[in-house]
Amino acid sequence: MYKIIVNNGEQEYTSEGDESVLAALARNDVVLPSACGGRGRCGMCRIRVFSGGSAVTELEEKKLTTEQLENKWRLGCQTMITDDISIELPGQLIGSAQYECTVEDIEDLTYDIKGVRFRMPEGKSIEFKAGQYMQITAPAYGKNKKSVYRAYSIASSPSEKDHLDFCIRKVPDGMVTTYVHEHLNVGDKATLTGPYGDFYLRESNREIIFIAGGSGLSPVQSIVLDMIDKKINNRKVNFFFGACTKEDLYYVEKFRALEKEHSWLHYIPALSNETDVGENCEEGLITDVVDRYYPEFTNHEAYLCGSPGMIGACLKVLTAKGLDESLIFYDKFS
Amino acid sequence: MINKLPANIDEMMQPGVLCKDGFLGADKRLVKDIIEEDLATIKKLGMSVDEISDRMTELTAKGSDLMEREVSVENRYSIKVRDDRGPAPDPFGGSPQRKGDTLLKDYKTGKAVVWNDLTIHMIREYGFFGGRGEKYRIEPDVLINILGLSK
Repeated sequence: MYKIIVNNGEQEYTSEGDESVLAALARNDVVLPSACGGRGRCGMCRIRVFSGGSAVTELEEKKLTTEQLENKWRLGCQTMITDDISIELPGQLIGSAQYECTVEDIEDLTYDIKGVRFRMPEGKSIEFKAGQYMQITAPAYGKNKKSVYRAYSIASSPSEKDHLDFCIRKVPDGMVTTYVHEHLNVGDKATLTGPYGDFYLRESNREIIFIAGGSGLSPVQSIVLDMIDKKINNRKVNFFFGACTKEDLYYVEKFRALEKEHSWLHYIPALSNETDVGENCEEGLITDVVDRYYPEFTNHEAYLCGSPGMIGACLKVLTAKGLDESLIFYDKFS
Repeated sequence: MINKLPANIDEMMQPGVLCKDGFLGADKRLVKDIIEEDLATIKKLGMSVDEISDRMTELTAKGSDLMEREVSVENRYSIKVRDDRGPAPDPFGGSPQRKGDTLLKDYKTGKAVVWNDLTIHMIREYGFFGGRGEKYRIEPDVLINILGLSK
């Protein structure tokens, strides 16, 4: 039996060997990020290995820079347990846990986004910061021979400790989103791991700009609901939600009702590919709409959630008008 | 172009390994044979994988950063670039690529095709266009025609 010593002894696990660090940690509910199922193709399961473990593989030499290798970085999926091993993991992974949740509700939010509500296991509750994400596991199904997991932002408020909501967009050929959209049913069990991520509201007195697109609405909704629950009403919030057509909009009524109840919240949906956007909706790319709204940024901070392209475009607009990059928060999921 | 393919490349290309449908479609040929045949076609047409992938990158760039808005370009194409979160792992072991499909309609040929950054990367780096029947495969001669590169 070998020891896996984590973060200078903060945690310790055991392994009989003949498995990767990724697999050994997963057995102990510590799930490293991965998009390739532990095949050394995505390079996401990075850990630092101070002693022990198998030799560096060819795949790791491709995925990691010389500097990273010199600084003891390895891929968890390629590092085999051959003896006692001492590793370092990001602190947030230690606090995460694995839950066997039950699907309580699934609803079509748009033609390609589903809202999924999970109930926590009996007697268990979850603590997370609004804006964080969980990994949802799809078991082996169809031609997929192994279970795989992907990251999704939580859409519900942290005060709701017995449930978790998500908005999940179907990705073409996506292994987990296809499972969620085509195979997952109410009453099914599903494995969720987390919470993870450092996308959350910073304490300050600055005005808040939320910019989201598609399923990026989830963490923004979680933060707004959390602000309401915590009675944080001294900060003005403008929430810009970008979509192409009316069919891509969802939760419009919900946010309209919230802004009616809470004067600090202003919800601004924008459509980029409609000739008639209708009332209470802006026309154009979300970046153009934000650009029109603000002549300059004086006392603001921005939170972005959406595709990498949207985030890149928003960064250009915000920084061009003087918003310091240190006041712009985002989670690219890439 | 890589000289030596990873030993397990045919396994990595199967459905359910790195993506739901895999990279081979109904093609029963080995990856190395698919690559060899496509490279021979390209050579016969006087083209290179760099010319093809550069042009695909150029067209994708024209539809990027528009948050999935469809645009008309070059008086010939309509382009919409989807933008999904997360990395698409490279089965050959190279850098993961950005997820998100480029949907291109060519009014001149009347054809509509789809590719993504991983498709472009695999054509450029390995000469791999996908197996026959695979969603992202475009026959090299058809692709060259759609891209307006025919000599």
